[in-house]
Amino acid sequence: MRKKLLRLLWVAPVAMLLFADAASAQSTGTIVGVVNDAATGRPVAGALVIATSRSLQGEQTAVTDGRGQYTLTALPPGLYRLSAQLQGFKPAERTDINLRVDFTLRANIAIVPEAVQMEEQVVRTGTAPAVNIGSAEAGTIVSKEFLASVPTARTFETVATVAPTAQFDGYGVSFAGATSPENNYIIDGLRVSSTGYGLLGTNLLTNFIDQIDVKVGSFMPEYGYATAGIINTVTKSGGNEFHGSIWGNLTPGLFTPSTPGTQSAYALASQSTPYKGSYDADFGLEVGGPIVKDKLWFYAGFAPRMTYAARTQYYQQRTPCTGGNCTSTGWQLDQYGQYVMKPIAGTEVGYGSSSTQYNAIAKLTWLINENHNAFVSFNTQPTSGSTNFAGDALASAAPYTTNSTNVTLNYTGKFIDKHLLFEVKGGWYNSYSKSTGNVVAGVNSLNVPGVTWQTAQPLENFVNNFTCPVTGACPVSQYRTGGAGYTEDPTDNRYAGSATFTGLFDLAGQHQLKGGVQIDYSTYDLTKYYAGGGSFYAYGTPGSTSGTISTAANALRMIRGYGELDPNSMISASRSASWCASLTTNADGSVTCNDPGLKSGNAVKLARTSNTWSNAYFLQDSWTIANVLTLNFGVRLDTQTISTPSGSAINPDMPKFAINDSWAPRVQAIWDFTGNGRGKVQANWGMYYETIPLDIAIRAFNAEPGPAGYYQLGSCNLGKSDVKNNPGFNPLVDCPNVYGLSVGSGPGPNTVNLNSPLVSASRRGFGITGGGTYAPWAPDLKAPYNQQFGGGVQYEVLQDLTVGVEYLGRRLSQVIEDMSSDDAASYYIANPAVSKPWTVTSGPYEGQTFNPVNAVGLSGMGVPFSVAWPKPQRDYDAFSFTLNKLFSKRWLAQASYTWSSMRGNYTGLFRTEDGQKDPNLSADYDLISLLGNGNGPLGLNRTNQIKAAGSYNATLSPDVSLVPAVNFKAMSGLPQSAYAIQPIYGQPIANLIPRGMAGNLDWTYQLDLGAKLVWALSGPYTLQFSLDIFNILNMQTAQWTNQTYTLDSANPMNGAQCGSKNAITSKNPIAALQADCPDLPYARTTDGRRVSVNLNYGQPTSSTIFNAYQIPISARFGVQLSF
Amino acid sequence: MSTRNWTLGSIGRTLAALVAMVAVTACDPYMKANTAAPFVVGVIGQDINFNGIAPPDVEGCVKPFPDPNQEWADATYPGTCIEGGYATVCPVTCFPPRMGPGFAPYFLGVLGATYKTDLVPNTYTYELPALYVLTDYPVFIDDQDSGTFFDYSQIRVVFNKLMNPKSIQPDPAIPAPPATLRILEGTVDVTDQFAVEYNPNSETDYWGASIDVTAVEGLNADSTYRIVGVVEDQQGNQLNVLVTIRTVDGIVIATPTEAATK
Repeated sequence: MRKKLLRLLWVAPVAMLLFADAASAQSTGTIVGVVNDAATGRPVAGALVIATSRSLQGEQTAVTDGRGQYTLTALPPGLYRLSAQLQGFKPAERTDINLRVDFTLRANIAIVPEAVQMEEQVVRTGTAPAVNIGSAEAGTIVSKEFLASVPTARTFETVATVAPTAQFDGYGVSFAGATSPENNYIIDGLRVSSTGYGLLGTNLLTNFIDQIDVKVGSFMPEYGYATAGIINTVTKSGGNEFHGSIWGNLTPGLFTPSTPGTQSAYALASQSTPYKGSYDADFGLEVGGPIVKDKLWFYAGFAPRMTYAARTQYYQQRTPCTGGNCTSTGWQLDQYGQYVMKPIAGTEVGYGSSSTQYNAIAKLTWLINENHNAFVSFNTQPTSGSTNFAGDALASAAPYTTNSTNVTLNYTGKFIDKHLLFEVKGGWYNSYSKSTGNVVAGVNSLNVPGVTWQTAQPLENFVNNFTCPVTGACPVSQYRTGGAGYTEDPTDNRYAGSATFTGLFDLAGQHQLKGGVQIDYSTYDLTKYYAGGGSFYAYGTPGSTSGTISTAANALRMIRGYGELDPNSMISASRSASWCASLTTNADGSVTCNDPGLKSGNAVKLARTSNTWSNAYFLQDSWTIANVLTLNFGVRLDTQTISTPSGSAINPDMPKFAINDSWAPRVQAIWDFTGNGRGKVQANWGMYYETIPLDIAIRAFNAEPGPAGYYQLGSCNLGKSDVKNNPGFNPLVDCPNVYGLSVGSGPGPNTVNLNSPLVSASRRGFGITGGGTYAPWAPDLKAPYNQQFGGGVQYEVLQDLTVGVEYLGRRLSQVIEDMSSDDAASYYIANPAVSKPWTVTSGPYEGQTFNPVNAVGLSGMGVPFSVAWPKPQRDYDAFSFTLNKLFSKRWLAQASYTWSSMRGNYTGLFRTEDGQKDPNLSADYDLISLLGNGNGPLGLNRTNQIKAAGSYNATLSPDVSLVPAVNFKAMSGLPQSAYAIQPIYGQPIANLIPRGMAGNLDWTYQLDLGAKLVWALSGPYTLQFSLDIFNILNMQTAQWTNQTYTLDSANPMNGAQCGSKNAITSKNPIAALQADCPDLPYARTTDGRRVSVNLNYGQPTSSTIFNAYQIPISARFGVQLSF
Repeated sequence: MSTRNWTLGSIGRTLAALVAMVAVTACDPYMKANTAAPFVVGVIGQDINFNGIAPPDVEGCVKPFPDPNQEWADATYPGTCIEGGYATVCPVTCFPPRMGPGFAPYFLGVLGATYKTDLVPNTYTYELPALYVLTDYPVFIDDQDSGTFFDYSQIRVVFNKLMNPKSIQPDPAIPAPPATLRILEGTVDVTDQFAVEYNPNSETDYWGASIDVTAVEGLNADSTYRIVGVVEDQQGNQLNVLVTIRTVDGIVIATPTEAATK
């Protein structure tokens, strides 16, 4: 046996690497217990305990030890029956043990001596416990019964919001205040987090899901790659009987009204109009069964899904003043200072976004023998679709294709009389997205530069045959023409593997010693480009020759107009200011730049590749003392190395980006105060390290130079004063020599020719946007981590019904961010307030000192200063009261109330303020002038969350049953702020008043009701009709508002105090906020003027991540034939 | 905001208000008022064309100046004297000459009369006015070399925290101070020749609000202006303000002649 074991230990890592897999993740559970003599109460040694279940191939057995204890490990989740047998005793059994994934249940069994006279020949002990006495982690389990009966979304991720503290954060599910990229997403043991951003990479239909193990936090060292939660999803498996279903679901838009229109002062408007043809439809089939009974099972499913979201574009006009509140230019304002806009009849045009997705899944489960089993799982989701926008035809659609594919292999073996478990996993995750371009009249939008007309112009300038009913009443701003604009095509790959051993032994109690290694090699390739080779922002009025360069009147700003620069010679700080090494003015007034730093103009796409090894090692023990006290303790070591092997010949001067010392100890204590698995008191503490997504490698470890130039529209060769009838307006064609080096036809490498005498020197500009070269990183860089701690009590008050109360705390300890001490002239990567100052010794930054502790800068007014970089802070505290009822006796329920507080200055891996999704590269530490007023309630701070969901199976007749269900959520609103334009970035991200001081939005209530009519047909067939109505009260509460208080450049009013902090929910948020914050009416621009207030401040509006309003009522109809 | 009135809404709000009142607002460190005593951080002359502040070195500001002893500087002006940093953060580097030409650095407190240097003798002595005074303040600098015209018609008095706006500018729409804050030219009250505005915005949390005092018709050369009065912060703490600006003629920096550059 020992030789066999040694051989296996040697072979296993090799096998693991061959399989190349996934993160370690439990997809099974454990049952422990004690077999007692019912007559004496003493433990019985040598009893055979047999576990059987429909979800288990064959049976699993264990023999009780000298203290009567038994342990059954690696059991697939399902409903179990335990039987105990021993000579001289009557057989005993325990049924209805509902084992969930990664649970440890205690099921003690009492057996009766043969000598005792009883009527029954088999002793049946009482109901099985439901409390997980093996772990103190926070979270919940979503069962397939829950998924099948409670009205939820069609894909599994959103379902996870049923967990206490969970909420949708715009990109995914947030747990305990953290952002969703901080989660680890697992399907059948394979990590499916996207390699670039850490978001969910594969979202399966719930039909294919068996259980979702939602870990909110405080998990043990075997779990990692997360500083927040884990969504551990187990797909369905086959069984010894053939089962399957055919289904169809349709959510027609017919019953869904529009959301309220968002406020706009401009003529181009659009509105969601689902009743005009929206739909969400899926149909599919699934089947599972035996290939060889108790040996080899299969499960397979296929389900196409089609969606269409209808919108209507229309034009509207401003209303001439008729008295009362009016603008100085004669337009009517309403009582809140908003333009009174009137739709123009007959201008409505329907459009929409669509997608078609083919979901496929397959799984084989193989029981080699009682001690060895394996499974292979596969799923894929090829999708094509188009996201559409209002506006110009060519620019208004963004067709794409995407797919994600996962393959997982898993082997589990038991050795040494099942005292040693060995598990090897391997898997591949792939995901990609590719833009395909919109084709109008034979022109592909990927081949045409996009133009955004920034300055308000009459709509007539853009739309043929349109006449505004009142002259000047139909201006548009930020109207898009031309091609698709900025485009990204990402590709993810992950090859991951893990090997885990578990040893069961007795030493002053029972131990489950577990150790393992997790190998993760991920790649992230990104091609980004501007459609047609450039993207333009036009300012001012065409034809005008007045104004100045840049954002003032009459400038055409071109960015990323042609290919790459030599990053080694383009350091943004110095070269942006003097963009050309050798500039000469020609006799005709044109300007030529001869610069060896400029590469050939033909490479218009920036293609970057990156990869990372994220390996982890862990060792943990679960020590159970006297069957009532369990101590879990262990440590995890995370390592990560990031490389950028192609697309850049840069950062040769920096040490390898490798962080190999992320030690994460974690401890838990669980006291089963009932002694029989029906209650526990628990406490936990641990450290959790982030695995850095590869976006940082693409953006900060590479150069991403974007040549930018300014040019005068007046010199465009349009032959007309506007772009009317020019939906395909192409500056490359219509503005000859607009930037000399046009795509593929420039004057040659290393040369730029601004060949236009019309452009005087004072109105010509050129520079570099984006990072001209890589950002150096601190030599003592450490991985981001946080600390989590908590505790609570759970008790099973009725059969399968558990109530509990728990506390969960989370503190950011360290983050990685890009920082700039010189107002964006140069950036560096460091642990803010932690990394020591260092001086770069070679390369383009040679001699430059970076200081992540003290920010020394020169203000915009030329006044120098020194301030300490603030420590990143995100303090989260939550108390949750929970109720869980497993599905039994015809009903199930999950309910919770959570009170939480989250304060600080750092939201996480994306910024909730503006949706910026650049993990570890957010704007938070970019600029010193952005630091002001950064502390306060963070963007995902929802103080109260009330959740209740459940279903009941009512029998109407022997063949017909009705399953009504409810899913209710009530959550207090998100905090809102007041922003001004940050003068350097030009974005509304400067906190005028401290973060969140505008108050919280109103509570959001969502009541979803469902009902299923289940009709038992002959044989194994059942037919089910379902109706789910979402948001049945049609609540339309605002989810996000326009928080740009002013469109002027202004600095924070540091430390401003606001009174009631509820201005955002008042009818006139501007007046209320000004009354609330005494400094606000005096707010000044950076050049000393009083700021102009954005009249749309406080009005509901959609952001990058949040809708303006709740999604209105909708109804989903379903039919399913099961067998 | 909500389009529906629903009973649960009011229940929820009541619950939320109770919980928030007990647990959040009452002891939220991020919402604590700044109770520090107000003081004047510094005084600066500003170009109303917002061309920045880049006055050239003038007579008396000749390198090498005795650098301060870093240890002394760190102790005396913690956080402001960064080795190799910006000279004007640390009030002792290139000081006092830069006090003169319309460019006074922000500085904490009232400067002492001596500072330690690493030179021998290691104590450099200079004279300072007792209170905030801008001397030799040019009313403009016409830098013909760069084509930049600096019109130093605005005086900014910077505080360490936000102040009570009403004590500086009672009406946000009217740039005028209350009777308790005056502008004097010599001994004459010339307040009505100035726009006096409360400015709560600052680039870093190192600073608080400021008073922007702008001469509508420009400052007179060879005059002494005083900003004098009583202001208060939002906690009701009063502060006496006395700032003196002694102006001189504008400075014209001529374009170097070809001969001069050879």
